[in-house]
This record gives sequence, C-alpha cells and structure tokens, in this order.
Amino acid sequence: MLASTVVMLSNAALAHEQTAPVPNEQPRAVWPHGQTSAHDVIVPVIVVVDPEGRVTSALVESSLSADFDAAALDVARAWTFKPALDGDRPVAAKIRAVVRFVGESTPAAPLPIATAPAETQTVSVYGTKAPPPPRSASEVVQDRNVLAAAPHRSGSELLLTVPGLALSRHNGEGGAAQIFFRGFDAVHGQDLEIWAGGAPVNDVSNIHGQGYADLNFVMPEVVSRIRSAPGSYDPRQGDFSVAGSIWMDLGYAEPGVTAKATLGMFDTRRYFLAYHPASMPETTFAAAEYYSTDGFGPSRSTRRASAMAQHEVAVGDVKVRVMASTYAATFDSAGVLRLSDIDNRKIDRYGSYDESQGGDASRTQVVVDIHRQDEESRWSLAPYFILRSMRLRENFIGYLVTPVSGSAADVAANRAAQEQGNSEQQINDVGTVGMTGSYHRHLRLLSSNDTFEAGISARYDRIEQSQRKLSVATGETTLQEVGAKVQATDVAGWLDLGLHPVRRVTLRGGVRVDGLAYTTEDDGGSGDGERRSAQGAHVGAKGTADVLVIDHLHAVASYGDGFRSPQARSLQQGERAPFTTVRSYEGGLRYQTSDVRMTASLFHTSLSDDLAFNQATARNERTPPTSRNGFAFEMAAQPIAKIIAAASVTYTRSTFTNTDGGYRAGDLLPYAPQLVVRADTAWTPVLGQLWNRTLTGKIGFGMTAIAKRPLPYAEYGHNYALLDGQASVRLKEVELGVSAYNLLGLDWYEGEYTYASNFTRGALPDLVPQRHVTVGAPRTVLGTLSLHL
Amino acid sequence: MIRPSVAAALVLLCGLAACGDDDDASGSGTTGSRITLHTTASSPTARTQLTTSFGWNVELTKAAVAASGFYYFDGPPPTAFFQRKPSLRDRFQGLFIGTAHAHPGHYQAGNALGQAQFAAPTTLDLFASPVATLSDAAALTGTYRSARVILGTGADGHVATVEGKAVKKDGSSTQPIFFRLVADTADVAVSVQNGAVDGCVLDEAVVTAEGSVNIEVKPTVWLNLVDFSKIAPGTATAPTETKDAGFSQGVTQLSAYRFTYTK
Repeated sequence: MLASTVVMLSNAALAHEQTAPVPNEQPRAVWPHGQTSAHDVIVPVIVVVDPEGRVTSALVESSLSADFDAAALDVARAWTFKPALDGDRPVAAKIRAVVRFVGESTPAAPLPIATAPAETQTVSVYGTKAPPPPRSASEVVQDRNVLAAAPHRSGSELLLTVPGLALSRHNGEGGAAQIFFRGFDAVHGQDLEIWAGGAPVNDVSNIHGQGYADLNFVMPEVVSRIRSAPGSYDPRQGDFSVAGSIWMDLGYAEPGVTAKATLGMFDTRRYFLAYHPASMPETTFAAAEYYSTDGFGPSRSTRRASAMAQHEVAVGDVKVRVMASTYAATFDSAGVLRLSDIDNRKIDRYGSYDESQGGDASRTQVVVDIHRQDEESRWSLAPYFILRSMRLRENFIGYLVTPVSGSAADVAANRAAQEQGNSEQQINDVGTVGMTGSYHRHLRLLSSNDTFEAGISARYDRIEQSQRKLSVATGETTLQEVGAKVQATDVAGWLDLGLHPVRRVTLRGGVRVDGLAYTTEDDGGSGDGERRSAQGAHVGAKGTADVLVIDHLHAVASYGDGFRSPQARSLQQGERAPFTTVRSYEGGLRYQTSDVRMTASLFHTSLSDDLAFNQATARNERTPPTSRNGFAFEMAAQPIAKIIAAASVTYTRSTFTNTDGGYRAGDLLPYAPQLVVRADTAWTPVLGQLWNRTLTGKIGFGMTAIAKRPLPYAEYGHNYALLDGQASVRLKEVELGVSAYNLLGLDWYEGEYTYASNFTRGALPDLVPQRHVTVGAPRTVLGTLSLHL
Repeated sequence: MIRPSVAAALVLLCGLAACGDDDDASGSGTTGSRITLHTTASSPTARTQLTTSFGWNVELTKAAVAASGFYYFDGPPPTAFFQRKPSLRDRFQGLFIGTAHAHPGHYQAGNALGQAQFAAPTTLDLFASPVATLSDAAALTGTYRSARVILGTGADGHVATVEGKAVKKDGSSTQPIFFRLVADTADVAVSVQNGAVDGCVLDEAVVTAEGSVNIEVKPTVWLNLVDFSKIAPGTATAPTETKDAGFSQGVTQLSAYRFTYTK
C-alpha cells in the first residue's frame, strides 16, 4: 500500500497576516525501486510554492538516501497547493514539508491530508547532518549520487571525485595512495587532512611518511557524502590541512539486506553484505566485504576484509552515533620500473624487479558521537579510539650503492647492506585516542542570525616504528636503520564567529591554536634508549566573507593561516617543533540551487618552506619556500531526477619563491600535476515493468585526466585521461551489473619519479637520476550480481 | 547552462588525451636540465720521460689503461682543500680563527651529475692518437667538481699495462731495466672496490650547456711507487713482464686522472 502525507510546518518567514499554502492535491509517494517496508519512512523537504500554487523548487532538507531523496523530490514537485496569501493577494512561499512513504503495515485507507492552517509539528530528523556553510568558494560536497555515478573499488578511489585531486598507488592496491591535490604532492596524506565517519585517518609521524592515510578500510558503498575543503579557511581544520581537508560521512541507503558478489578479470572477487533497517536513517547500517585479486601482473595481488557498523539513536534530546569497524589487508606490490627498461623492452610493463615487495595493514576503531541540538544551540562530543598496524616492504633503488656519510663503521654497514639489495621493511604500529567537541549557539550581535562556536580537539598517538634493510635473497635483516617509540600529542582549541553585519553579507572566521608535543625514544642502533622531546604551538587565523550577489549566487573571499607539522623522529631534544607556515587565499563565486551547483575560484597558497621528493636521496627533503597559484571550476547538476552530472577543472602552478638547495626561484615544484580534470555522470532510467516489478537501469561514467606533471630536469610526465564505466539493470530484488576500469584500455603511468637506481646486481649503476614509473592498470572488467532483500 | 559545461569538460579531456605525452620542456620548468657531454681522453705531453720517487729515470714506450666508465659529481675532491686559493678575507680571518679539519681527505661524492658508461671496458692507449673513442655521457646541468673512474679489464686481459726502460737516476746501477708491468682486476681490488677510483679532480665548472669532458691520464703517478730494482733486467726485445704492488696501487691513485670540462 502506497500513500503519502504532507505535513505543513510553521514557517517563521511568514508574517501573521499571511496565509500559508494549503495542499489541494497530493499524489502518493512511490517507494524507490518498488520496494516497501513494514514501517513508514519520511523525508523532510523544503518546497517553494508559486502564486499559482505549483511547486517551483524542491530541496531535501535532510538526506535519508539518494534513492529516497530522488523519490521524495519526484512527488514533491508534483504537489499542488492553494497558494499562500498576503492579505488577499496570492504570493510565492517557501515552506517545509515531509514526504511520507507509507509502510505495508499501515492501513490501506487513504491518510488525511494536512490542511491549512499550517500545523506546527516537531519532526525528529536525524541521519546525515547538513554540512556547515562553506568557508570558500570552492568547498564542495559530493553526495551519493555523484559518488555512485562511476564505479569505485575502494574508499580510496572515491577520493577521485574530489575536484583537483589525483591518485597514484606505488605501494600496490592495498597501500595508501599517493595524493596530489591542487599543486601539492600530499604524498600519502602529509598535506591533506582526512576524516572518515568521525575518525581521523592520517597517521602521525608514520614511518613511511607523515600523515599516511590508508582509506582502504572504507567500503565505497557506505560513504554517503564527501566534503572537500581546499585551503585552511575553517578553524575546525587541524593538523595535515596544508592543502585542505576531506570529510567522509558514512551511511548506507539501501533498505533491508544487500548481498553482492563480484567476479572479474585477474581472478578478482568481491563479496559484500550490508543491512540497513528501512525505518532508520541511512546512518544506521552494518556492512562487510571481502576482496581479493591476483592483480594484472606478478606481485600485484591484494586480499582485504572489512566490517563496519554504525547506529544512530536518540536518547531523549541527545542523539548518539556509534561507529565501529575493523579491517585487515595483505597485499603485494610490483614497485617501480625504469621507463627506459619498458621502452627498450627489457622488462614487461606489468612486471616487477623484486616480487618480495608488499605489505599488510589493519585498523580497528570506535567512534562515539554524542550531540544535542535545539533552536538556539547545539553541542557535540565525539571520542574515538583507533588501533592501526602497517608493514611495508619495498625496493625502489635495487642494488644501488649510494654515497653515504657517517663513521667508517656506518659506511661499511651500509655498503654491506646494499650489496644484499635495498629491500626495505617499514613497520608502524599505532594506538590513538582522541576526541573532538564543540558548542555552537546563536547570538544577537549584528543580526539575529549570528553564531558563535567554541571547539576543542585532542589526540594522543603511541607509535612503535622500525625500518630495516633486508637481504633480497634471504629476507634476513642486514641493517636496522630506524627503531623508535614515539608519543605524539596534539591539543587544539578554536573560536568561530558567524556575523551578518549588513543584509546579504556574512562574515565567518575565528582563530585556532594547536599545541603539538612529541617524545621519541630510539629503539636499537647506536642511540638505543635515548629519549628526546620537543614541543611547539601554532596560532592560526581564519576568515571568510560571503556576499549574496543575487539569489543563489555568492561571492566568497577566504583567508587561512595553517601549518605543516614535523616528523617526530627528526626533532632534537628541546627543539621547538618547527612548523611550516601555510597561508591560503581564495576568491570566487558560488551558484547553488537545489538542482545545480557551480563554483569558480582563484587561489593562492604560500609555504615558508616545503618538501619535495629529492632525486638524489630518493626521499622527501626540505626545499625553499614555495607558492601555488591557480584556478578551479566545478559544477554538479541534477537537471532531471534520473540524471546526475558533475565536472571539475583545476589548474595549479607551483613554484619555488627562493633560490636555495639546488632549487631556483621561479622554477616549478616537481611531481604534482598542474591540470586535473574530473567528470562523473550517471543516468538511471526506469526501463519498464516486468512481472509487476519496476525494471530500472543505470549507466554511469567517471573520467579522470591529468596533464603537465613537472618532473626534475625540466621534464614533464605523461598525460592521461582515464575512463571508468558501469551499467546495470535491476528488477526489484535482483540487480546485474558490469563495471569497467580503464575502459579505453590505455597504456598509462600512474606515478612517475626521477632518481637513481640499479636493479642489476653487480652491474655498473646508473647514478644519474632516471625516470621510474608505476604502471597503471589495464582495462579491467568486473561483473556483479546483487540481491536486495 | 549544464550541458555546455559537461561538454566543455569532455572536449578538454579529449584534448588532453589527444595531446599524448609531453616529454619536452618548453618555457619554464623544474630546476636543471639533461644534457649530453662528449668524452675525450688525452695523456700528458711529457708522457715518455719521468723520474720516480724511488729515483729511477723511466722512459715509456707503452701505457694503457682500461675503463668501464666515468662518473661526474658535484662534491669537491679530497684535494680541494689544498687546491683552493684562500681569499683575502679568509686569510685575514685565519690570523685569528684556526680551521678545523675533522676528516682530512674524507671524500663525499655528492650528487651524480654525469655518467659515461661503456658497453665493454675501453682501453685508453696513451701512445695512440686518438687515445680512445669513448661514449658520450648522460649528464645534468650543475656544478661539476669531482669524478670517478671505473677501471675494467681490457681486451688484452689487463686493467693497465706499461712498457719501458728504467735506469737508476744516481748512477748506482747502469743496468737498464726493460719492463712490462701489468695490473689485473684482482690487483687493483686491493686498493679500490669494484674498480672505482673515487675523488678524481674535475676542474670546477658550472655546466649549463652541452660540451666535452676530457680525461687526462698521468702514467707517471702509476710508476711513482715502483721499485725497479726488484725487477729482472730483461732486454729491449724481451722485457720482463711482471706484476708489482706499487704499480697496481699507482693505477688506483686518484691523482693519476684529471678531468676537464670544455664547452
């Protein structure tokens, strides 16, 4: 039994002499995919009713799921009303309403339609919280429609939908991806703050790289929304938000049980199981996956298992969201290949010099998010606990005997180790506890809509890490390079104001103070047992001016003062933790309606010093100050309910601003691509009816293109434009789909690096840096059978 | 408003794909650039006559060494301290502040800027013209300061060979020694690893464009430590062929090789 109800809610915008619109015709809401539940489901919406009584605009106020949102908007747009009256004159009005999908257990008799006068009713809306107001013109929220338009095999791949972001996976499919974002080589997360489900993802002082962010524990289906905030314009942005921040919200929309089985090329298998109670918001779900693949060449296999559950309940006025997950993976890595060896056919492009490369990873976490909101204020407190483990084995320079300094014994030990090959094992085990908390309230300073927020963030990490050279032949340890126990503490507080000094103008901004402390104890080696500590603080100002130019069009200017934190192991006793100062500026336009979002912006970021992959040492080294200038254009649109389209173009020019250390002012910073383009589009038509069931289809594409990757010595990397696609048909409970990655079958290089190596034992080494590449995957086709029960 | 945007993005993507690779730097780029350096070899003009530290007058009739490759670095050679002429300011400061030398002679190669690798060890015949035909070096722009010679086994089976006549300078012996000294891989391995003679002087040069690097081999250095009194006299037609530790060590002396860059 299908029915719907519209409940009018009081609207403060309407004065007492006005009469709210009265519904006079109400088609029934149709359950998505024809699937019903025993319980009613409601979707809050905001609609604009014109003087003729027609709905001219409809917007979901609080998302339940993409499918319910689309179905709710379909029916809301079909509503007709007796128009609002201003005295006797019909006028347009914006009102709140709810679309009710009536469950099967509800009596079949038609439900009464709410009538004027408008009835005030409190609807407990919980589920995905509305994102905060954007702090820059280019801040973007990609909802599930965009995230699901193209196929994605992991949570990491979902990052590709973020405008201006590109990925490279030189550690294999199971390792954290290298991230390039707006002219930053953010390495594995050093310059990009990432949160998923309320838990921080970046590892502090990870042995493989500061901020190492492994997102493979996130199943792509359970991400309901990704918010990306380039720059550091929001006081809530903390450590690692050098280039920006990304928040992944978790939720699963499909009601009931979903079971998927995926099979495909390279013996790829994936099994996915999820449950989402239909009567609950999408934030309540449980999901698990097992994924395995042999990969497209030797030493490219991956196995991973992940489970995640999240429940949101209301306890009186307080809402509590609990998220828990656990994840484990083991994976191989083919490492890098010398481009000249591929070009000269000395090695197959999908081959590997050292098939012992790879690693494993695990993550277990719990987040408890407690929050309360009323008309005047809201507060939240979200403690979290994370256990993470990582082991990587890689061999990027082969048997190269590099010039080493130090004592004669050190030199001899290094040379002996390198004779056995530079296979390097890195281990990083971390326990993290932390919390975020905030208090937000309305103020009446310059207007009745002003706001104030105070917040805190605290995080403590206990890390054990090591780095050893292993014999390529025997796997035995030949040299312990690093052994350390690290304790890292990050305590931050912020104040944030939102003011409306004059009509159409909003000023948001505040200040954030971060205090970071590190204690490092060497574990092994000549400094065994030596403990040292360092501490420092950073105070950063943030501000945004937002001017409503015309309806839906905002001019936004932003400033942010951020920092880059140091690697704990590099600090000396008593050293003031040296922060790199990051100053970001952006100005642009935002146009947003319920159906269309378009942004265009110019941005500039300057760093007091920087890090770049050094071709001589084959690791990131400090460089002179840098600046990044660029522009970004982004759009997302749902012109009709069945079509979604999103696209972005981001160009960044990153240059050194001083001459020092072998770099020259004005020269380009290597590695981060200057131009990143992304497009996502999907069409989900209703194909017809079959056996009294609705037959729906879906076809979607995602395209990522990068160009102008500067490499050392005035060279540029290879451009690529990759197309992924998927198509599926669904007959209520059964769905068949096929997805293809690198649909055009391009030969491409995911990562390109310039440094010296020697992969032939005993051969005369190439000491002049050469181009190395990580080879991109060939066309990969997977088929999926899904059951929705 | 929407579809043109999508279309524009797709057109741009297709344009990017059509661009293909872009390996050529045009306009401004990252720091430095790749260049090719030609490799030449020469021997000193006075290559036939020398007097050793043991007091022997030597007249050479043949001198050859085989090399597998050369490397060029930006690290100063260990002899740089002695070569560098102190500035007036340095000399003035030196009156009050002494200079500490923690590791005299400790060589740090620094960054590799160039490498000439030969498919097979190439013999540099110092009595031939040209001395050798050598492969070009793949190189980078930068400041060149030192070099590495990789010794190899030549076609004659030896790393280095010299022939000639030695006569005691002080006349204590008038018996000339006709010799043929050879050094093999195992002999030079006593002094250097993998045949690498590190820290050779490369006359400091800021290299910004293609040019040539010349290696000058000084056989006088090879023989400086040879005690010819321990070698049987032999004859002019049948010189005494032998190995000598002093000769093998001399072949591995970094001062036996000097590199010079020219545009």
